[in-house]
Formats: sequence, structure tokens, C-alpha cells
Amino acid sequence: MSRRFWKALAAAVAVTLAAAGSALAANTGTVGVTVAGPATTIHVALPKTSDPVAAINIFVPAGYGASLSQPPGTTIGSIPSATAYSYDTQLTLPLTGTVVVSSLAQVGSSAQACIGSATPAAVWVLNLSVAGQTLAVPMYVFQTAGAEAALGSYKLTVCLPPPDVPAGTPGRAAFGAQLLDAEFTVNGVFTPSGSNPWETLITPYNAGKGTVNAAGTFEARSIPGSATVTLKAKLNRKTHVVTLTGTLSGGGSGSLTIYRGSAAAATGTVSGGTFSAKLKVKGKKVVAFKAKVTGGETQTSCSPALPATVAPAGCASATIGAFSATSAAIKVKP
Amino acid sequence: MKRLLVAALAALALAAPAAAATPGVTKTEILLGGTGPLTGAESAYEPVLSGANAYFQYVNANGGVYGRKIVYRYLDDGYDPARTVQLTQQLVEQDGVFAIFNTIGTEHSIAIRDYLNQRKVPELFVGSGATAIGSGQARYPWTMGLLPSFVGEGTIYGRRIATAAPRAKVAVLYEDSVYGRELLAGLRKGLGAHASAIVGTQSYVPTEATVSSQVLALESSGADTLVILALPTQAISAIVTAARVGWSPQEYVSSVSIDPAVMKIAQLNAGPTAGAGAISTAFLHDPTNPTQKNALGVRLYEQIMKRYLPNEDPKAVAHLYGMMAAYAMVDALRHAGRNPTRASLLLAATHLKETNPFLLPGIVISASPQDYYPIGDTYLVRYGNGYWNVLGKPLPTG
Repeated sequence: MSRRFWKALAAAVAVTLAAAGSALAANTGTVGVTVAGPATTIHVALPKTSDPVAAINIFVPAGYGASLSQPPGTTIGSIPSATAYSYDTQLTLPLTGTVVVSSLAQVGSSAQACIGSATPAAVWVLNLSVAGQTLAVPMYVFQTAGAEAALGSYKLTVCLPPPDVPAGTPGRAAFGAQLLDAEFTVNGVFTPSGSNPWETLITPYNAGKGTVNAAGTFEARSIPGSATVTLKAKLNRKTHVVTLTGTLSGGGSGSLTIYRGSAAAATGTVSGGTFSAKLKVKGKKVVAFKAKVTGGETQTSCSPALPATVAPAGCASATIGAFSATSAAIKVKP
Repeated sequence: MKRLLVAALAALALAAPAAAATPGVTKTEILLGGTGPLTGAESAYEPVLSGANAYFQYVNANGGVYGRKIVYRYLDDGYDPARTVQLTQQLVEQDGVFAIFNTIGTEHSIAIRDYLNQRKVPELFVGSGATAIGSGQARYPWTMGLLPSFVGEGTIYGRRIATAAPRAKVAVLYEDSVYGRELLAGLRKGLGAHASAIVGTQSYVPTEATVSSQVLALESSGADTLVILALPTQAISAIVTAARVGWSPQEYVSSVSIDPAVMKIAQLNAGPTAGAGAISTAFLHDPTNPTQKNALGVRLYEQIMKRYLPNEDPKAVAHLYGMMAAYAMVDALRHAGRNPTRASLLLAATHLKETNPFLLPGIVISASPQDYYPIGDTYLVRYGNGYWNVLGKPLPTG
């Protein structure tokens, strides 16, 4: 694509950002995405050693559909785990919460500071709670247009206040909280299509200053985790031992659970894309076996990275998202 | 004739609709007011108010109190007593509330009690166990607390140390406030002849978020027991600091800091053994403790949270405290009669005897005109395997 196009895209993405600073530290972070049926899970990890983050723009790949008509107040997802570091208490805080549909009117003036006068297609709030205290983080959902459409069909924008400026500074994050990690799932919102990666642009602050470091914007790419599992069974009628063998697509690795009916009967690991297990069967009833394999995030190559006009600080990570796959049931008749 | 007149006047008085005369009470509604920190550094107490409100909504959905719905108007004082005064005056004079309920904070409650007592507005179930609240009924009969006595809680820790570890060397971290000083006084009282076991004390002011320097000073005292009379933020800081420097004293933690998140945060920051074996006191159910999951109060709590506060954290025990206080308030309102007055509400509150489902078994709410500490007993609890586990039988805090 033309240089002019990427320049236009960079300008569009930077709508939330203030004047550029200089990228000093090698900031980094990862974004992992898992799509499983109607559930889309996004896991953002931002190490404490990096500068605090001012804005995160997550682009949903081109071709994806989105259902954004839920009324305000609807809970559309959950946040099973998140952590934030509090500069006030010097403690890392474990957070959990919900994703709730909101509106521009409900989130108030913080919207203007984050997205200017743009009108999002939806406003969500990530309610991150610990011990009754809640950090409400608005997330703005836009249908992309123009140059931004090259990065995806929808954009999820989050702005975070600076945590590392002196207490009492206007606009400082509550409790001086710096987001380190957040995994959230939304249900029944996105309809996947194709295998394009999710692109995320992360813009840090200049450490300790509370000013946005637009030149430090970096790319974090995610390839949604997916896999298929096959399972075969062979029964030795003399010993009543059934040998189960299977494969995991892509020659991958993960944690294995074999189910007899609905109960876990064996656990193990998969490496090199294959696994096997032996189980004894009793009685004369037909037994159904299934294999479930789960795997964590893994890193892969980011090449080719987005142009410097879009992500001036380059590509920090390319993450293959976590996955969970279950085989078809295999019936064994003793 | 005179006797007839008196009888007629009495009958008239009985028949007079209270709704016309009693502020905050209409045919369909009872308006209660309250204040607390909905925002700011102490907003961890917000669930005390929202939990109470959720319980009122549950009661309203089940017919209210004699057909009247309870409306609980609670306002954000930012934990600033001056703001508590201003907002309470607004609730009484502009909104015309029937009573003030569930005020959070000792200093905050003290700041408004002259005003409320002069106007004979009930100030019920204040979130404080301070002597000034619990023993002030002679001068302030319209103000009643709810928490067990701070002095009594401290006394329980002192007695426990004196009997379980009579040779202990005790270090104390306490908040420099009515709350902290009364707990410390109780600790000395409970230690009795062993009061000299206290080898070091350090205090903090509520605005200090970390207490590392105080804990390091206490460690250098040679103590083998650390009594933490602190709010959650500072209690976590103390436990984490001790664990990080390898100091493993027998820890005692005041009961306001036993929300399940406290130890979870401490262990996330200082490893899985931080806080293990710590001792505290508890009078409320813990909805996160699997051993209590089938208790009536826990099941009711979960039902109400799911229905009325679906986006708030059900693990925050402060919600359950708020529901416990609201349960007592509803009970008092019912006993105040079909045509309640402020006087009949006070009368009901000062004669309350109830089994409250949100309290641990064996602990009851009981008040009298001579006893303004409705919760008079509590359990010792020990932290282990991820939960605060009940030890023995209820102990008196009076």
C-alpha cells in the first residue's frame, strides 16, 4: 500500500493521542485472542517494566461481524483475571469483574478525553473489582472506516490515566493503578471469519510525566488460537484395556484430559502433535471416550510488521492465542 | 366526663395516621438516609451501603414493611466528617428522612450525633464499635452502633495471647484514631498481668497507604507476635512487609481487615505463606468459604447479589455486612408498628432480639436501653488453606 495511505492511517489511529514524545524505553506487551464459538477472549499483558499505557486500540480482523445492539446495563462478558500495580500501596492487586454495555452519557467526560467527538458504535465498561473497590474502564467500539479499515473491521479503544505521576495530579489513575494484565471474554458479540490476525496498537506514556508518548506506539499482533483433536480407540478384549491414540493439529502441544463419559479418566500432555493413553474398561456397557486438549499462548514471528507510520516503535510481539479443542466421542463396546 | 375526654383523646391519638405526622413515612414508603465513602480512598466501604440497599430492594419485592417500600437514600461523603454533617442535614431537613441508617465511620457518626439527638432523629446501626458510640446512650439515646466493641475485640486478642503464648513478645501496629486506640486499649486490658509483653508499638495515620517503615521498626524490637490493628490497605502492607523481610511472627489482624481479598493480595505480593496462621475475630458469614456455602444467610446473600447487584463483586464481604445491618433495620421497622414514629423506631431498636441469618451461628443481635452494642459476641478465627476458619465458641466482647 502507498506511503500516503499508511500516513492517513497513522493519523486516524492517533485521534486519541496528544502531542508526540520520544520513545525512550523498549516498551513491550502481548495480546492473545481466543475465539471459541460465540465467546471471544482477549488477553492483554503489559509488563511492569514497561512504561504505563495511555491507549490500547484493538482491531477486530476484517470480515468479522459484530452484534452491538445490546441495551445499556446488559452484561456481555466477564473478566476472570486481571492484575494492576498500585503506586499508592506499592502492591499488585488481583482483579475480577464483568463487561457491561454502557453509553456515552453514562461514562461522562472521560469519553471526550479519549475519543474526542467521535461517536462509537457501542460503549462497554470493564468493571475491575477487588475487595469492593471497582475500577471502571470504558471501552469504545468503532466500526472502522477509511484507512483504519485496513487493520480490521472494528476497533476497540481503551484509554488509561497515568498512574505514575505524583498523587493529587489532576487526571491521575485512581489508587495510582497501572494495568498489568487483563483477560476478558465477551459473549455473542463477534462472528469470526477467516484467519486474519488481530492487530493491536499500544501507546505508552512518558514514564513519570503523564504525557502521551505517541512515537512509542507499538504493535502487538495476535493469531487466534485454534486446534482440532482426533481420537482413535483399540480394545484388547483379553485384557479389557483400551488404547486411545490421537493427534493435535499443527503438531502442537498442550494439556490432555481423556473423558470417560463426562468424567475425567486420565490426564497427560501432548507434544509433537500426538498422544496416547491406556484405560481399563469394565462391564459390558458401551463406553464413550473424548479427548480435550488445552494450550497456552505461544509466541511467533511478527514479520512483516506494520509500517513505522502506524507503529513507530515497531512490533513488540506476535502471540498465538490460547486454545481448547475436544475430539469427537469414540464409542467402545467391551 | 373528664375520664371520657381522656379516653377519647387517647383513642384519637391511636387512630391518628402516623404518615401525616412522621417525616419520611407515607402510606407507601419509608425514607431512610445514610452517608458513606462512595468514592475516594475509602470507597472499599461502598458495598456496605449498596449491600444494604440491595437487601431493602429484596424486602420491597417481597411486600416491604407493612406494605411500605423502603427507600434508602445514601450519599457520598468521601469519608470526610465535615461532608457527613452537611449531607446529613440535607437528608433530614430537605429530604425529610425518617431515620439515618448505617453511617460509616466513627468520627463521622460522632460529628452528626449532636445534631440528630437534638432533633430526635434515630441514628441507627452506625458502623462503629467505639466506646463513644456504644456507651454513649445516656447523653445520646438516639444514636446506636452495630459493630462489636473495639475494646472488646482487642481484649479477646490480649486474652488469647496471654493464655496461648504467655511468654510472647508482642509488637503492635495500630491506626492513630479512635478505632486503633480503643483496640490497643483492649489488647492491654486482655493481656492483663502480661501487658509488659508489649515490646513495641507503631502507629500510622489513615492517609498513609504503606506501613513498611513501621513494620521494620517493630521487627527490630525482637517481637515474635505482631498485632495489626489496621484497616485493610495498611494490614496488607504490614503482612507483605513482614513476609518480604522473612519475619514470621504470630499475626493477629483486626476484624475489619478479614475480607477474603486481603490475604489474597498479601499472598500475590509476598508468596503463598504470607499471613498463614493469622488470628482474627469474625461475626459474619464468609460467602467465599466453602464450609459456609450452604448456610441460609450465604444462600440468601448470593441470591440478592445476583438479582440486585449483578455487576458488583460478590466476594466483597462488605456487601454481606450491609445486608446484615439492613436485616436488623427491617426488623426494627417491623417492630416499630404499622404506624411507625421516630420514637417507636427507637423503642424497637433498643429492644431488638433477633437471629440474623448473615451472622455466624450462635451470634445474635440483642439490644436494650442499657446495652447499645447489638452484636455482643464474636468468634476467634484462624487463616488457613485460603480461608478464615472458626475456632471454638462465641466469645463476649462486652
